[in-house]
Amino acid sequence: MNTQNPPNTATAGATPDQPLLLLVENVTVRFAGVTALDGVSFAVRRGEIFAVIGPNGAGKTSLLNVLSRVYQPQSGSVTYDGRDLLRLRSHQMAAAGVARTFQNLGQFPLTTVMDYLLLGRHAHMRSTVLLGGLYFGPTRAEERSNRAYCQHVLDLMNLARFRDAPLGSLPFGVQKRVDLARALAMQPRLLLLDEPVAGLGGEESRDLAAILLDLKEQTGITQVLIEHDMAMVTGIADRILVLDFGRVIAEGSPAEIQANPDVIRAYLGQELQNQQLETGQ
Amino acid sequence: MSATQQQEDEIAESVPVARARGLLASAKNHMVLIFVALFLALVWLFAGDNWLLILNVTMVTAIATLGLNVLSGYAGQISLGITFFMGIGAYTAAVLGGNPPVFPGDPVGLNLSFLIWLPAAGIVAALAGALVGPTALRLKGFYLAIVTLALVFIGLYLFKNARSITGGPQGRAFPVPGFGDFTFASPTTVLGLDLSSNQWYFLLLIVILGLVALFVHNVMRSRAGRAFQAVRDNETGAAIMGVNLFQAKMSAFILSSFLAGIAGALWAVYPGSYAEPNTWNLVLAIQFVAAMLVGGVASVWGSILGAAFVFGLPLALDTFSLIPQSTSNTGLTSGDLSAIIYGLLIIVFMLFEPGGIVALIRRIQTRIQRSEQRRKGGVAGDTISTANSAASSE
Repeated sequence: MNTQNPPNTATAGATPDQPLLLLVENVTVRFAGVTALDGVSFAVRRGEIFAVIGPNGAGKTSLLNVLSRVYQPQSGSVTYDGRDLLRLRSHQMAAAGVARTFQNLGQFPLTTVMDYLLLGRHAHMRSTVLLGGLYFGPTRAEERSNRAYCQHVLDLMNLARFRDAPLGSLPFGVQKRVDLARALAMQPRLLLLDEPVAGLGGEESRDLAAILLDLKEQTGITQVLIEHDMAMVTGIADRILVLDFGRVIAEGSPAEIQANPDVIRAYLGQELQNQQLETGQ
Repeated sequence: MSATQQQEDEIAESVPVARARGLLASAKNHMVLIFVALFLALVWLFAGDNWLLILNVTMVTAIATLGLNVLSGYAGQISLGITFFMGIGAYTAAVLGGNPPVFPGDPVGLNLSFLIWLPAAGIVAALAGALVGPTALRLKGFYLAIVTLALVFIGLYLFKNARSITGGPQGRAFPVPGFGDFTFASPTTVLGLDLSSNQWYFLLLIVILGLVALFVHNVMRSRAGRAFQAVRDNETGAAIMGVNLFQAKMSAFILSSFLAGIAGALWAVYPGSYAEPNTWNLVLAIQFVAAMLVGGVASVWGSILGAAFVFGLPLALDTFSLIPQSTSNTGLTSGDLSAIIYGLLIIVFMLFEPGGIVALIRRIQTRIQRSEQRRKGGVAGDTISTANSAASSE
């Protein structure tokens, strides 16, 4: 997205007095004796970018699966916009305004980009089998207006040229952006991002980070992202939660997190060591 | 222009071109359509009764194959139970449209119009689907296949024993479609044309098949159809998109049962208007699965081609004695032979062309287009194979 402004870090952390959108309290998830999440609590304010980081196996993906209602936690509560999120079924999340992206793509390899975005519009559309089969009047109008909306999203995301390509034929980086475009086509109020830059190259990562910042500034969509890439997270997140072995070990602004000795021990130290090894320093 | 931008331009050029959205879209396809329509008109006027029978059987079975494809091809729910719903549809037609009983033991019939019993056949079968669906659709894959297989045998038992409806093991007469004095089963002269029964049925069936094909095509390019295909590809993913899995599967099951009911009524009515309960057996159900697999999974044209291949072709081979008849009792009968051939064909298609005949045709089309491009001096864009990726998207 070279047409957009570079990341503007000056505005990060400017949402302290916004009301809460998401409140997670004491969430515990266990799988056959393994505790994936152990009493995790945090709160996400409206309009902020909230990042969850942690080493492999820290429980990041489990947390995202709880928030998108794929996993049912053994205990704890999740309040979204004043309602009990854990009472919604996973297919009701889209209509409630929660969209998530996927870390590993390939769920729909034969679906074209346009159809994928239209699939994302499912909760915004009404036509049934009968109306769809007859394909007249309201159905036709609904199909047309939603197609136009998806085209608009594709234009914004600079993806219009891939509109009719099957997802599986596209390179991973483009697929990631298509997946984000699909999540945006769902017009969410809460966007859950599952490792948005995992598997991307340096330039692609920076482009994606810029898109996420633009989204925050222009649309005010609240974003919860789980991520491995520390540099990317500290560049765009307003607040960061650090998980290790399913427990919260720190929470705070990027600067606080970078200075936190527990975090450095659990995660950054290891990371820095790796980086030093890679760069040969 | 950054480096990634340039890369993307290259990628965009190598990505397959948009496939025509409409069932019959694009100027080239319009030409093909006109040609096919002309050809069909000529066939209709001049073909012998043998050929019309083959075409009519193909059209009836194509409707059932489309029904199966909705559930198994598009929505990914494996079903072997299509003949159960065909039977329900057929006996609904028989009860509503059949002649009133003359003797005490005769099966019931209300002698209603064809315009009532044909839609009713679909609706009652759809209701049966709605009744069975919530239980059956809790299961997936092989388990669903087993349950739907059991449905066939439950159906056979019910049909054999519900004598007042089905006539018992020896079968019953079915109504003949018609309006007032006119019936599709009797030759009539219209505008100086002597039209045979098969010619009339041809007209009726091509209209019904056309409507059914258009309906299915429309469903699959709108919200409900996208949900079906998402459920087939990845259930968790589909749910995250906001698709209610149960609702989507039920919709597919009900639409599939509706089409099977219509096809069942027509299958009982054409050509002899007589059917035994044993008509709705497992072998027939598996033939529909074969038609779907060989023709093309999740494809409207594939369903029609598959029906032609599995039901039309053997009839043609039989009618014109292209396969030598076995003279001894111990040798292969033509039935055995076709069973072997179809078994082999399913395996061959599954191994080498999972997209069926439709994918095969598209692959050939793409190859011809490419060689044309090359001859015109254009760049040969083979970077990404297109034939497979576009195959099952329709």
